[in-house]
Amino acid sequence: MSATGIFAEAQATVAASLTALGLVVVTDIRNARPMTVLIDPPTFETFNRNIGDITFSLKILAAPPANSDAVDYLISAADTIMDSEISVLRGAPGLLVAGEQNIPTYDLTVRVSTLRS
Amino acid sequence: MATSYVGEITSLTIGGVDLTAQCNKVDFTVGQTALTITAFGDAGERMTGGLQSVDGSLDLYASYGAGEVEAVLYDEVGTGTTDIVLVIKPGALSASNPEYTFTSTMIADYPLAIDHGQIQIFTVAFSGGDWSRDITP
Repeated sequence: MSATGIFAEAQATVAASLTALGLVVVTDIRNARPMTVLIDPPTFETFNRNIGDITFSLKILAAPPANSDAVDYLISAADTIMDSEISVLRGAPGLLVAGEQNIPTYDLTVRVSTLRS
Repeated sequence: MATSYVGEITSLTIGGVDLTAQCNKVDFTVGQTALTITAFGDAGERMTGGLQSVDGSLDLYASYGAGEVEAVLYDEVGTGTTDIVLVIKPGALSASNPEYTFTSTMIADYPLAIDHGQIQIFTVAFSGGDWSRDITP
């Protein structure tokens, strides 16, 4: 079953914006791999029943190990996202444990508002 | 016992345009101007109601386009002829669900502020005009 509603709409908007920047987007942790951007499920506050103030955590994934090659890729991708229409609130380096690997990441928080009607 | 979902605005129109979906806060104070009718011999001041008074404000999500919040405010600002209608709860009008109508009220100005990463809101004040309360189903 495909997701519907304002959160799905918001996620699709963020995914489309990232794709337009030339980034490979995944929304399923099972597909997360180096050189992709993983969109986590949203957190949100409500303006009213019709409007969501929606925040997403994005994880930019680089190829391990977490050396300067990985960092160069991560901060360049983070800059590409920041220098776009996407409202980036903050970012921080991190690690995603997938299988037995520690994947170096850059975790960004972005925000959208979505109007149901 | 009764449980209610709190703080949902049921119906709001401004200048005849339904902006219910873009509003999350309404507050208003209505009444009549207090006029003195104190006469010689009165022990204390006596008052009576004068002209109706209206003061209120709305928080509106900043949507853009024909019939959207920004366009409606642009059309109404400064005219002094704005009509605002508010229904308190879902369902038919009744004594427990009144409708308030503000007629020929004034939206003197509207602020527009854009804050990076924050939802954009118009906080709009209105004042003056007439007010009425209707509970007729």
